[in-house]
Amino acid sequence: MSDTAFNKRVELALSDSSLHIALERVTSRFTTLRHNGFASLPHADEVRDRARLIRAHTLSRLDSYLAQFANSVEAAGGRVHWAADTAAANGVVVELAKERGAKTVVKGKSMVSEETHLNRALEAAGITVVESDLGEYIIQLAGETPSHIIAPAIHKTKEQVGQLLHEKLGIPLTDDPAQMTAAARAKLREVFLTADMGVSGVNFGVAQTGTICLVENEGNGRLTTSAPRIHVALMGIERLVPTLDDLSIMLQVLARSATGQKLSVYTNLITGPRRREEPDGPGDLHIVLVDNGRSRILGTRLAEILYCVRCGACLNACPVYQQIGGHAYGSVYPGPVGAVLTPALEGIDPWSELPQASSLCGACREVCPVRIDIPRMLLELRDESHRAGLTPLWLKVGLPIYRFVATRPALFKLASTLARWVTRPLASQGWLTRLPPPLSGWTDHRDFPALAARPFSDQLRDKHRKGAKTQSYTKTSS
Amino acid sequence: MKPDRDSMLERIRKSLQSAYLPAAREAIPPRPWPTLQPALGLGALADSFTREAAALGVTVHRPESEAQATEAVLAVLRESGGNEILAWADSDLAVRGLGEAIRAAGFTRLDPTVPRDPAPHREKLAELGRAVVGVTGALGGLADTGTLALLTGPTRSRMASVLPPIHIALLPLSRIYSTMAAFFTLQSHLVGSGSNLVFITGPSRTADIELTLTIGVHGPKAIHIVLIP
Amino acid sequence: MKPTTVQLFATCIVETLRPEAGMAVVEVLERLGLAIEYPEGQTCCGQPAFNGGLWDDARAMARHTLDVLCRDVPPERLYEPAPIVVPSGSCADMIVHHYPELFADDPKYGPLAKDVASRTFEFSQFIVEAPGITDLGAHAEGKVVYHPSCHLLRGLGVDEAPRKLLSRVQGLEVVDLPGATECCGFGGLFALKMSDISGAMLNRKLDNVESSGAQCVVGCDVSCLLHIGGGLHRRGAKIETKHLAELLTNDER
Repeated sequence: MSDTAFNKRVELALSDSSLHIALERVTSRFTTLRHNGFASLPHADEVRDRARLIRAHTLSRLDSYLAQFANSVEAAGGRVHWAADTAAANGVVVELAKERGAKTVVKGKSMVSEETHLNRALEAAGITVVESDLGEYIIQLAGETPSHIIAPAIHKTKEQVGQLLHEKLGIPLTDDPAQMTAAARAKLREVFLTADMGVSGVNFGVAQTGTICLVENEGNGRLTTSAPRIHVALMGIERLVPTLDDLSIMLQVLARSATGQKLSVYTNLITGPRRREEPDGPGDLHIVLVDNGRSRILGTRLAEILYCVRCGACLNACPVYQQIGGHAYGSVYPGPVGAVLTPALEGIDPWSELPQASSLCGACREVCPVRIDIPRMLLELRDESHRAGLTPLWLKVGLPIYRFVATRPALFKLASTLARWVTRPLASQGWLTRLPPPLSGWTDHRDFPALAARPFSDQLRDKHRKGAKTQSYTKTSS
Repeated sequence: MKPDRDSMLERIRKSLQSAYLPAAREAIPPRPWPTLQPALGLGALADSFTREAAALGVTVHRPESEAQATEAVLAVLRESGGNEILAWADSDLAVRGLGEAIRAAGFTRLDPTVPRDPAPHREKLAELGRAVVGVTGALGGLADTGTLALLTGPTRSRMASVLPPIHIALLPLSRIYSTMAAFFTLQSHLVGSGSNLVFITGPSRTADIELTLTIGVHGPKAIHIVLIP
Repeated sequence: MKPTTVQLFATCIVETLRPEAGMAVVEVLERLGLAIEYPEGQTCCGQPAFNGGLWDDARAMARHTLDVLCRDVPPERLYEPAPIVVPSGSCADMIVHHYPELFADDPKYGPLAKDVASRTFEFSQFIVEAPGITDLGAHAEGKVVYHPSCHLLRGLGVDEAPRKLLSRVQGLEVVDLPGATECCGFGGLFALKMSDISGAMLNRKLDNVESSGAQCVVGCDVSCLLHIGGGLHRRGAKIETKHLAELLTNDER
């Protein structure tokens, strides 16, 4: 593999033996959990079909559902902000924080905020941001980015986490996850109860009622959205469903797909800010609708990627992700979904390698709860990549030559005869152990068989001459 | 700001002219399988609820009378080793005399009202953080997943079910629904009447470190559900 | 109506690298009483270019293939076109699923693509579906594992057919392959473009093959078998690879 940034990251990942163990663990465990989760769901196939239908229908009417959602949020006392891009989204949050004199922001998990690099923007404005999801908290302490959509710190061993917490929090060195969790709990509790602002993501917005739904297991999402006086929720504009009934279908597949649970521990439905008579909850609720390229993707053949519910099942099923992990992708969203979403959001250049890093095995499409055809879109992106001139030289030249030869049968015959004459003497007992570049990638990892002494069509003709039943269909004169 | 809203909606409308959205249909058809299952009796629903909740490590109490229910709650309170609790109003707890009994047993119910000004806000949260047990009612239960549905209201705080390490919920048997879809079919009009409807399925947990499961993170570590006959 | 004639699309890999698989397919089909037409001039279905994103080149190869498969249909077959049998799941999937897409807006090749797609079958799929045979009276010795190629398994939805055919081979012990449905890492040009990732995926498949105790890996896609076989040979493992048809012929090979 050539020396690109992506390839270097892959190199690093492939040679990391503790990453290898961690990836084996996460992909195999989540795969089993997901399988069991769906086994216990009545009408599982129909539910998935319906979930797909709901996502497709909603997007096909996204303008009217978004308008309905925004109106419903405002009717319930919430405020809606329409952020066209990263700068706008971050700008809203930073402005709100400044207006309120907020010094500390506590954050629930939000992939959209990773996309906009919100933390950096808040910190640049002198505001302290603390991630409250345990996995996000760990990588925040480590100064890293998430490597998995559902389990952000899964690339770290418990020894590595123990070491990190010992260094950063001053707790005694331990490799016991329960003790580490307790230490994080104690530290974060203080943050929940004193933070000036809570920022969260949104799993689904419900147009009918202006409700936002957040799912989580730790309770950090509940505290982030209940304890501070102001709650700001970042929501990708595609994360919408029409009604509560539709929400119930999405929830039937989301947790099962992600972790095998029938439901996450907390499924929070938030409709507007704290009511006048209520004893607690944030007095202000702000929902930031983030476009950042989604409306553009909607108009392309990649629109189907917007059906994604961010369950992470495709990562767990992907044999490539299993070998290289999340960081190798170099993008906010890794794995199969990231291989489509990243170039879709940010352009094919410099992300052209992501759609190439796939054998198109289809495992992702098989496990996707809403049956997104990721392989189709990887192929679309490869077509786009070629038209953008990003195909490596040897293929840009080699494939058209192959096409030239393969559309001229006599030439094809000649070429394969030549190839046979050249390679057979070089083979040792029928195998070639070294091929020249750009084919050397093959022999880096396996042997290549010498071309057969007599090609199939010749053997078939011999058999036919001996009077076999098979007929060779020759072109009649025209 | 109106211009941001209009321009975003306009961009979307424009894109929809060339959108390739496989499986998109004009309208979402009615569900081919029934949402409400009237054939399931209260007994079956309660049994399913108990089984699912217990599988998650929830302690489900099935008292046969209000007196037994009261005793079950008091037992948990006594074991908690603390004195300060967060509780919803007596009328929310669905068991007559429970509120009185708790007071009589010497437990202090902290005032759940959190002030809106910054400094008193922080002080109050610190105070509420001392509670060892939260006692609430429940708007409903979901039988297929062992889930509690709690809705905020004037006397129904959020903190009672998330801050203390132990959460006791009183759920009348008659409020157990077969599924979330059934619950929404019958109760969706209530969803917007409070700022927060939360579905709670088991004690808080994480597996973020090497996928090793730890129970009890930021939300309660122990859940007790008392089914009221 | 049961077919009496089939067209054989051998694939470029069978033609140049594994002709014995093609000969075995011919023998099996003849034993079933079918007459086989081998349309001359066939070369490559165009999948490498298609997967590479060079769709114009892919279309050129696809047009050539469609021309080869559709010309000179004898009058008596005009209303009953022969099924096309392909000894490769991925090539069959290319024709069945991607040919119609590539020519969706083409007035000439669009209909041809749809026609060809509707009558193209992978070898094992064809045998079990069309004549409806699962027991060919075959016998062979040894312990084998079946590797389900991804395009065959998930693209065409074919899995039971090859397994059934294999299970009816007398004397053969078919053992479980751990992680059977995991991709072997071939992926066409992926094996060259992302060779290190492909190699890592291959290693995992080889470990699973070796742990199964099998002496032979059986599959329906010669491409996967070349990749797996090449890896086994590199490791010095004495494990063979065979196309399914090679176990169904009763030939001493």
